[in-house]
Amino acid sequence: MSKRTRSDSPLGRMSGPTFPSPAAEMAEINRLQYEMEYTEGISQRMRVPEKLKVAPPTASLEQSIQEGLPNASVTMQVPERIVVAGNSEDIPFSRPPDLDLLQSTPFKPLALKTPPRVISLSERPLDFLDLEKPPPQTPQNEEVRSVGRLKRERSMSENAARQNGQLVRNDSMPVLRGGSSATTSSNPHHDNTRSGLSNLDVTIEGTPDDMTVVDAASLRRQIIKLNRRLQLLEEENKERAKREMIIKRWVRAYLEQQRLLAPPARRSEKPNWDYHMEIRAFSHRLHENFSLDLLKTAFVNSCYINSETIRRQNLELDKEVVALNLQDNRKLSEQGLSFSRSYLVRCFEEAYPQLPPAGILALIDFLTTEDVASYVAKNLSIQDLTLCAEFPVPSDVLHRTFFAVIGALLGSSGPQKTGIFVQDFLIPQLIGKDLFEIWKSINPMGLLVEELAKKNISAPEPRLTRKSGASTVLPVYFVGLYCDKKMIAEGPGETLLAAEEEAARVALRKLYGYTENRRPWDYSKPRRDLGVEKAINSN
Amino acid sequence: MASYSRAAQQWATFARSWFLIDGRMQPPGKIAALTVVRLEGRHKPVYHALSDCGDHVVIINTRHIAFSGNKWEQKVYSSHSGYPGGFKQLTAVQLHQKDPTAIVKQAIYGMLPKNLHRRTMMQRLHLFPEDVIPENIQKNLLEELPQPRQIPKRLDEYTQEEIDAFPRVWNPPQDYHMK
Repeated sequence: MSKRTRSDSPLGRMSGPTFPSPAAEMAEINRLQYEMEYTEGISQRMRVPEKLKVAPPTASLEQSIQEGLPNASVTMQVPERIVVAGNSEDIPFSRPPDLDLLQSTPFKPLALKTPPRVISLSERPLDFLDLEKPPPQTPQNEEVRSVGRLKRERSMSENAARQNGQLVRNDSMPVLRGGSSATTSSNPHHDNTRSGLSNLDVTIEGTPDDMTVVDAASLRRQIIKLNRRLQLLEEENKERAKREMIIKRWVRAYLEQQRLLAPPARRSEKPNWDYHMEIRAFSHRLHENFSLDLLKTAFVNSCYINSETIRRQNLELDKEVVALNLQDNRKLSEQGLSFSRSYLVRCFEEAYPQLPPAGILALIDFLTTEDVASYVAKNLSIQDLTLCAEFPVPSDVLHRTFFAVIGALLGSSGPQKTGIFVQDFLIPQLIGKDLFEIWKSINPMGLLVEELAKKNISAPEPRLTRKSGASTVLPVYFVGLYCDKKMIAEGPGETLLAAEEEAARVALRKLYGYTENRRPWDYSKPRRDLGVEKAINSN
Repeated sequence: MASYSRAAQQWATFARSWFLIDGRMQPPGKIAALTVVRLEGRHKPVYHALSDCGDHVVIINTRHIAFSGNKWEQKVYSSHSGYPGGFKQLTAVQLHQKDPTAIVKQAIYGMLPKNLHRRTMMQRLHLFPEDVIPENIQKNLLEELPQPRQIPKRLDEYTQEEIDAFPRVWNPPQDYHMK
């Protein structure tokens, strides 16, 4: 860029009565200097949009400006014509030869870190820079054309615009005229165009003679609006750039660790959560027809109601306005639990007829424990839907909520469907489990003797079948139980006593029909009509 | 297997067995093959080289093993003490006289995998020249393995009844002179 020259003399020569005060002149000089340096700096980094317009609503789009601006932000193109004011396009002036010089100056493209290529503010990004009306005078035209280019340089910079807005307001027409008259003289193009440029920001609307205070005020408002938009734009660009950056490998592990260390949060506190829709989806997912009111009540826990009322009291709102009219899920939970137990009793009595009531009770107690119920509930996403004071939801609350859901299903669809539900979700929890893992029995031999006595079979005689490593620290003994000279069971053990006990357990499993090789549970068989059962057993 | 409890099932699966093999009139190579399979644990479905699932093998009557052919005289066991002039070569007879368990031991050692587990497996091998076994080992035994070679009977081991019961091809006349 050319050297800066003092613009005193041109200014002084031109404008007589409207000569600006020395302070304003100094400000003007400083501003010019600043602008030059600033423009140099930011022109490295700025993108020039295709169109610049001044007057927002009434303007017809100027097509004379060259389209197809190259994407390199350093190479800039100057339009054929820049029209300052007015609607018509017929300006008989030819392009000044200086602009060719500007355009033909080779620029080295720099490697730049630019924001996205398209800045999308609106269709007409910078309204107030729309150059529409043709200038009445030639010198102004020249200036305007070259100025337009520089204006584009600064169009992305809020500071420049703001500064222009601030400083230029004082310098009105006289300066413009002064600058324009000096253009044709020997001074380098850039300075004078720059001096006139800032003025043009403000004085674009009409011919110099038509400028009024009202227009200036409206333009000022436009400038402020634009500045704000520019600010938002730049922030958005920064955010986008940050998101699009590749996360380095040494940062990745740290971010993952932070994600894992973060305390667990409820699903309802994370984005994209619609409670009503989630409830509907829950009912849909299970292929069940829940009544949504019952289901919503099933998820409400007393701890939640308490905590909510306390919270609302703390907010000191009017009690009537904010009263929580939510019902507890206690009743539903009790209903669900009792139904599940009675249903499971019937199921097991049917499937394992030889199993004694103590054994059936043990199985049902296992299936309705907190652990099993909370495991099933977590995997059915009941934890996400539960309304509870604490998070993660404690297992007893989950257990209560799960059976409340079953109670809600009972109320919505009836005992048949609920029975199928209970069968489908609770009975698979027995897979892989041994009978005596669930049913802790202390004296299996005594139990066996009782069972055999009921069938009129003599007491079993234990005999050592096999043994190995008796004098080592890892012996193994196989003891067989013989009733009437026939073996009913054989069991291994570390010691003789342990082996005998194991043999007794094996014999019991065989008697109850709960061996490892029994037929798997039949889920397709329809159970007995439970409605009738319920009617008969007073509930 | 048959509805055992989990702990009992695992104990039974990974328990170490004690096998007994009688080496009387058996080729040492065949004996060694049997024992190597059991020492490694390859006879178990839960075998893995790193699982340490090998069993104990007790071989009795190693003094009475039987080489086929002329191996007693022709098979040579060589060793070098590491010192100059320390190369020794012994025939099978000489070695057997020196140590009646050595032949079987060498045979098994050579058949085991050549890794660091070999020495551990050799420690689980118990060789006895006769059928006299210490009591603690006797108590540990689980079962006896069948012998790999069927021992042929000598004529003098047949009882007179068996000889008489054996069918004759033809009955010679009384004055027939057998050469």
